[in-house]
Amino acid sequence: MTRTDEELVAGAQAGDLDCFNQLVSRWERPIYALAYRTLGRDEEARDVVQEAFMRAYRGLRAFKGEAKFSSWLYRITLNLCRDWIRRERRAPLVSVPEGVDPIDLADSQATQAESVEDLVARREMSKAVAKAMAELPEEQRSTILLKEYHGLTFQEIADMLDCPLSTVKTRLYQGLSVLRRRLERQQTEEAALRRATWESSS
Amino acid sequence: MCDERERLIEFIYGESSLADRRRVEAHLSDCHVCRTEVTGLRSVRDDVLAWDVPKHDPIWRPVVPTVAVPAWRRAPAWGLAAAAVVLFAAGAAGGMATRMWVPAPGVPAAPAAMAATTTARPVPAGVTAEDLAHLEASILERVRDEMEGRLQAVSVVSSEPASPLVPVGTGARSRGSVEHLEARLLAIEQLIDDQIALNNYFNGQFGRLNSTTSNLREAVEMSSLQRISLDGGR
Repeated sequence: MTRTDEELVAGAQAGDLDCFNQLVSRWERPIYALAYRTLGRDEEARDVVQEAFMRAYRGLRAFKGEAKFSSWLYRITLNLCRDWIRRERRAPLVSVPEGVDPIDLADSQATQAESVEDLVARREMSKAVAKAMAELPEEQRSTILLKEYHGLTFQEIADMLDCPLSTVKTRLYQGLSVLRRRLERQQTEEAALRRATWESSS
Repeated sequence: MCDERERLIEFIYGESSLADRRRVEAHLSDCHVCRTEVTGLRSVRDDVLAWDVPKHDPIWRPVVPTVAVPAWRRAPAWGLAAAAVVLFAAGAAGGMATRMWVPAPGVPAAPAAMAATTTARPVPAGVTAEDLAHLEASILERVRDEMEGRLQAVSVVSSEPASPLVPVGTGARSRGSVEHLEARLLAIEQLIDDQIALNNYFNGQFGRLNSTTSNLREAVEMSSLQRISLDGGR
């Protein structure tokens, strides 16, 4: 039977290392996804994951369970990402991880029935979203990430980011509106480029 | 209602109350602007989900119970090396003394003067400071030879030339020799640090190069796929 996070946290707090390892294997992927989408860099995201779990391990005894374990982890991760961005004074970017062939990456994520056209379209959209997200203010980006990819409620996001509920909704609205405009613009530009390429080649 | 963005956002994410949801639905049936807005926001939400995250191997290594490290293991390497030299010298001296002073049963007592293994030089019965110095010199000589070989490998990366290794005089006092060895080991540690820094630098440069190559490869493959797509598989 699968044990809940609360049960595993209680076990880990009592000194059962296996409980902590189970929590890690359960949450490593979402934590990496949050770090990767926030920083846009694979290697730095991996460092953040390591550090986040290290901090969680050290701080486990102090964790009172007032928030969900996952929310606590997300908060640690976002703080680490924020520290990294400030320390490095670098904007998020999107990169292909070292040693990973982007084609293999796309192929591994493609479904059997996906045509070349669909694959191209999906990859273009993925890159476009990553680029547009990287240009958003940090607060809007974090809010969209937590909502869209991690399914947190408005209240959970407000608690995590220490801001009023209405601020979360406003950031989400503004962020999505900006994304929408940018994606539409990019799609228009790419369509024009594709048309020009086709015309010059035919 | 058109100005209440919060209500629209709650509605889109399904977090509005039942009463609010009915109010928004009623409004949307009349308001083209808000209907377009809701459609646009839902569409961008679909687009956002296209952003994939690369697959990766497990990052975190499972926690294993910590093994208590003995105090001597926490000592610096140079300290351990120095202690090992002193202990070895003392042990060897004790061994020689035992062989000279305590004859084995049935074996005739060792002659008063016997050849030292390292110098083949006759020494008087009992261990003198000179014997220790000889033994020490022999050990240090071997350490020095080994270290010189290693130093030649790392000295090229050091900003300063490696300090020449001064042979230990046969008459040096053991304390002075140990201090000398400590100083040399510190210098070696510094060189090793330099080597590590250089390795890190190269690794960083290599990583960047690798990343750039991957990006270029992706661009080329993307272009190829686009061409196939435009040609319609012709």
